[in-house]
Amino acid sequence: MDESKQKQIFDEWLSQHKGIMFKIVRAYAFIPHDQDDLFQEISLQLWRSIPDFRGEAKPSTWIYRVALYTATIWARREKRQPPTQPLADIEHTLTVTAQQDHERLDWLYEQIGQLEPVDRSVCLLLLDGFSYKEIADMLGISESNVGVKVHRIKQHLIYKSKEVQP
Amino acid sequence: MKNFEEMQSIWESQHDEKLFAVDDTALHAYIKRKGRTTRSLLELFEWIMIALNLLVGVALAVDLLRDNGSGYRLILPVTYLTFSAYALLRRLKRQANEVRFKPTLLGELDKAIWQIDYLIRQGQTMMTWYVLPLVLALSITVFYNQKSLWTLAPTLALIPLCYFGIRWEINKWHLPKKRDLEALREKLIAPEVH
Repeated sequence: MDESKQKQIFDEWLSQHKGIMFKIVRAYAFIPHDQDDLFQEISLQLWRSIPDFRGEAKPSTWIYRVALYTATIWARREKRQPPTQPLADIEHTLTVTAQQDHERLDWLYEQIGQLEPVDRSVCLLLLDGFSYKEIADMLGISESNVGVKVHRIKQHLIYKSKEVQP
Repeated sequence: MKNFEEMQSIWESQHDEKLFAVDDTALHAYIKRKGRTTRSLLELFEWIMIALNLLVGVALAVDLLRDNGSGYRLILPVTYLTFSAYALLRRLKRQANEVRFKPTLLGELDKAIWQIDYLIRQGQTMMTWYVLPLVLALSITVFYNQKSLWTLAPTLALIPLCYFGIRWEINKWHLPKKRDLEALREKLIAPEVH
């Protein structure tokens, strides 16, 4: 695949599906510097994945899978090894432009952020309306396994919501 | 929030597109720089093995042809060229093997674990199937050339360095990364939510 075609696909994906990337970035990284770093990493992995994209899945599903895998690995790596590069040396590609005045959404992101990286993936897919089968296909696990994870995640979130709103 | 459906409706109300701004120019510059230059460790290792052995093998073969040499002098160029061809074959085999991993999160994890295993195996077999045969070929050449075996001393000194270097690399980098990926894999396939 030539580079201009690859760039065209990448730009299309970015303009149409950046919402997916932003949600994942926000669920896995919590300070602007980390969000920028993760966004760059996801973008890079998406770029590299384009030659492998055969169109068998929808672009949104493909982007979700690549972004979730990248974010899951990134979250574990960051936990193990804090970044060594000075903040000033990092190029900035992503900036927070507005603060959403949405207390309940912030709370939801906070709770998702407290889940294990793998469970965060399941939770994000579930909230975005993917079926158990679609989640299972994307993660490569059985539907029944997805069902068990979903059940526990829902229980956890409802329990946490009762803590703040007795 | 009393139930999950309510959480879902809150989730759907978000407008994250407006929350962040992407600097397209900086992003493209970053991708151009990283996308081209960064090869995986595995790819780099394979290309070094293929190119280095090929270069040395061809240089020795050209030297041999110039002098109309034969016999024992054939051993070294043939050894190097064989290593280069073998490294190329292994690379092709690896690429064929990688196709079998499904495009899922689990498939990506399995592929990453398999690639680390492959690197570890490469490192471990390098001593037996690369360094030692090379030293043997060098020894035969030196012996037939009627040169002192002391000329081999620097090469022999490299063997323990090579051995401990490979072990250090495996223990310091590859094994911890593999264990981490395996733990993640376990979390993914285990039905429990922690």
